[in-house]
Amino acid sequence: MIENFNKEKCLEIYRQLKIARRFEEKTMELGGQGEILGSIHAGIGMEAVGVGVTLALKKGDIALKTHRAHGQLVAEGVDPKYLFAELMGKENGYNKGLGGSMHLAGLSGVLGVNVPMASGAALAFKMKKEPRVAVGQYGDGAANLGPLHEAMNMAAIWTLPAVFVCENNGYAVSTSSKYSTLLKNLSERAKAYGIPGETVDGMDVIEVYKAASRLIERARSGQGPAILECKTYRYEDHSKSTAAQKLAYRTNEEIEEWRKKDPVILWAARLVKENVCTKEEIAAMDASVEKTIDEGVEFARNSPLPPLELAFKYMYATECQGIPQRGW
Amino acid sequence: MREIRYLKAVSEAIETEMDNDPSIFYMGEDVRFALKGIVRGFIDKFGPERIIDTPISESGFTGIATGAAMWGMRPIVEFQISMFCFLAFDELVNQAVKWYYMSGGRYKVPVTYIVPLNFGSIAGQHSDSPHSFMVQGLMKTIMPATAYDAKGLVTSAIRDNDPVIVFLPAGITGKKGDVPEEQYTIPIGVGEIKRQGTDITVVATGRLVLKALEAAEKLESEGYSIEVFDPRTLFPLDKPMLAKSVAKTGRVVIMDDSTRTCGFAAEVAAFLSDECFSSLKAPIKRITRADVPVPFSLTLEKQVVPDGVNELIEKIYGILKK
Repeated sequence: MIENFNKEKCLEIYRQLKIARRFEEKTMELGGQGEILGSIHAGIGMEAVGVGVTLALKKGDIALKTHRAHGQLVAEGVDPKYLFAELMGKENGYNKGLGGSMHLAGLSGVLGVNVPMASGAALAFKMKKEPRVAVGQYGDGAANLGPLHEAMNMAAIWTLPAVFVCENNGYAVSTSSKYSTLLKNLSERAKAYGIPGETVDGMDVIEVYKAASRLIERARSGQGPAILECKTYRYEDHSKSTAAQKLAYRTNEEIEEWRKKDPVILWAARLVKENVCTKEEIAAMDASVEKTIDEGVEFARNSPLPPLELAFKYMYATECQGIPQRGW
Repeated sequence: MREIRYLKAVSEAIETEMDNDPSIFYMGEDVRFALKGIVRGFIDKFGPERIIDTPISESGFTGIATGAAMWGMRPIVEFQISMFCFLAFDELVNQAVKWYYMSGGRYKVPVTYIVPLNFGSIAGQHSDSPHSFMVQGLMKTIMPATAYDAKGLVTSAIRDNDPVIVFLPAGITGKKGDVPEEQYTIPIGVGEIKRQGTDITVVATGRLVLKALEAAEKLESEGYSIEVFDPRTLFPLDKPMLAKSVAKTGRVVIMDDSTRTCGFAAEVAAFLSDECFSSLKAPIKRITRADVPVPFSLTLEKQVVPDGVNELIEKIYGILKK
């Protein structure tokens, strides 16, 4: 037992962390091979935040994620095959090939907008008297966006059932958060809205889970929103395209220091050390994850490309004469 | 039939829809006290849960409306003045319009935006007509010219499952017109020939529809027969109805308050030259806002914003007196 998690649940958490990691790594690999086109923002190193939040959600709760959260979607239970198919632009992709990596459902490619959207979802839950909570995630970069502040303030004054999770990985592309804010912790901004703010070690899945769980239940009980800042780190560069430019905004030593806190490796080590499970059980889980990933990639590769008319479908939910128009 | 003011027709459409559908709420700045006169008395009937005053946070509350719509509500958002749309531009055209498509049909965003337009010695940042930006952003855009159209189109906008923006033209929302007491709809994307004629088609939007009718009346005594086409919906434009009118008259003047460059009139002209060229007997002419901000001095404003009647008569003389 760790926290209130039995062996089975502890192994399941390991599976979630591992599959989030492997999904992102495989995505980068396929991107490098040209099988996945477009920009890819990998969250490798940041898995404890997404998995910790996922563990804290109850049925009906939602988490609107950042552009760096393919792994969190997989951890939530979306079958990787539909995500790989989406990233390859296939018809049976998660968004039918219309969204791609940066616009998967529940992920806005425009940073910080998840906070107004999650506040809106929370407003809907409150108005419909449903006991649901909406989590809006954002990074240290998007923390400086205007609509995010506006929405946090409104969520506060309307006592909405929302929790705002700041995934502070230290950098907005190449700009250090030390440059973009004078605050030590971004959770301090909660004071400006009159709501609680907490900062936790975002590399520790249990720490994230405990704080998220407490704040989500607080929101559910009608006490309003809160900010949870998770200090974390991305090992990869900002995106596939920026990596090629080799911008020297951080040192290898810094990356190596953070790797020592790796959330996937440390959780496995803890399970073995505290005799929750054996090394063999971890290895068996790794093999199972690898199989799921490989099957997902194969499914996506063998999936058909979308029919051409799909480009003109799903533009409007209520059809009107004459739209959408073609360009030639 | 009874006569009511345009603004009252808008108000009735919203009130009846709110009566019938508890998922509708109304949000914006100073809406509890109904500063713009649209939801007067609604706070007593629907309470602060459904008539939601917002802080001055246009992009934030527009985004909140998107989220609420994606999770089952049908928000109506009032922008106190039309230029506040610019503050929420990303939330409107980059979020609300795109989520249904980007999610492969998973999320619908049924939001109605109510946007009063402004004119008359308030100048610059308080006198713009942002409707062509929304048209280019592919948002369903309506601009009713009469009280009757307003009630029917606002009802359709609220019932539509996509984001729909409603522009209420400056200077005409106090005008009275025949409006049935019962709720009715006018389909989005369907225009109306407001006056039949044979010599020339005037395409006019919003307040300029009334100006076009006034000009047509004056010209009738001189023996000119003017047809007035009111698209009512700017996007999607009712192209079949417009093409049919132009096939009959062969001549066109387009009159709209957005800018000359890339404004709404430019798109109408482009459509006509592209698809109705063989019907045309004369070059297409436009009367638009000039490509400068609206100046404060009323004398100068008249150089920039068309009055609508005089300019139109002059243009029509130019085309027909050859």
